[in-house]
Amino acid sequence: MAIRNDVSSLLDRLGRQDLRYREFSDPLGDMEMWPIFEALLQDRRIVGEASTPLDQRRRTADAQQRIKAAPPPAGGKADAGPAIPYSPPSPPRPAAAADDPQVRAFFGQLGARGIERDS
Amino acid sequence: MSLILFHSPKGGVGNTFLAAHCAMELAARGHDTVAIDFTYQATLKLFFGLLPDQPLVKAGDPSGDEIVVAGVELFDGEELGRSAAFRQLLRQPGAQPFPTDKVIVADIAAHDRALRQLLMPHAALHVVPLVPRPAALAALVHVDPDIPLMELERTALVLNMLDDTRTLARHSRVFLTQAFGDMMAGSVRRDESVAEAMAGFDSLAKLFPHSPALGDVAHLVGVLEQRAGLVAHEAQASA
Repeated sequence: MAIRNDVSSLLDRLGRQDLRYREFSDPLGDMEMWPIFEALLQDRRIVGEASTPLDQRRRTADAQQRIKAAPPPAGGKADAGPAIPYSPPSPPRPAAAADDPQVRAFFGQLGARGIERDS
Repeated sequence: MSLILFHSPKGGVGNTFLAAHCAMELAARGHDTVAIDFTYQATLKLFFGLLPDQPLVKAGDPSGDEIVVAGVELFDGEELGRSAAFRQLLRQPGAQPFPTDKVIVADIAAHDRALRQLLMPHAALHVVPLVPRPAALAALVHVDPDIPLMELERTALVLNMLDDTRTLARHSRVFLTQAFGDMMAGSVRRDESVAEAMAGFDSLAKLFPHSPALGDVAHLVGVLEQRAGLVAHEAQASA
């Protein structure tokens, strides 16, 4: 593994083999509500169309409340959420309109490697 | 359906880096993986250690020899992506043109939202890379032209080039995680070794196997596998 000279000398001075990166996780309470964040939470392209101005304010308030009420992120990593329901795969079915040679060849390429592996 | 789109409404956020390294990680996890570079910049290959003048097989050109690097079959899809016939096929109601036994990673240029829109009905997941900068955050309103971001169901936000020593970066991560919940799939730390590996025309995994960005991508792909339905939740949890 290539290692930069300055890193190598730092490790020597520390008597270590490698570096461990420190996460500067920020407690949620310390998060500043930057205007850009507020603008996003008030943008209908983000939070959706509310039926009335009051609904819009409620949606914005709900999103802001989630931010205020939620616990700090653990370990600085987003937790893996549940898998999105997913229907079983069906076999590839190129549409009949795909008569274009380039398109047909492309989907042939996608299938070609599997065919070779099976043979 | 196992098409995973990488497209951000803001350029310069590491979309191609994430597409390339997620493809490599998916291949390392045993998925039969194809990566298609739909951009005119054609830089996806650089993350695989290929040279700028090294051509990829053109998608739809049966005469080309396959190029497989790090377990990922690579295609240049720029011409195909502009093909009227291809776009027409994608528009057909009920069309299921992509094979389901492969994971297909599509790298789409920021400006090409039209292609993103056409591919989206066929995709299991749309990964939206961001950086903790105001312009990238502001561009979130353009992820989908018709549906508000919070109502999108097959969308995963990824905060890339994260530097936790920077206040706005830290706050951005907290904000995105809390505001968008499970839609935030993870974050990848800023890592200069990514650029250094590319500058040497070599792969990041080979030159800097302990790169923090690589570790973050591995964690991220575990989340994306679940979101795209590539693994059962139970199997992932026990891994």
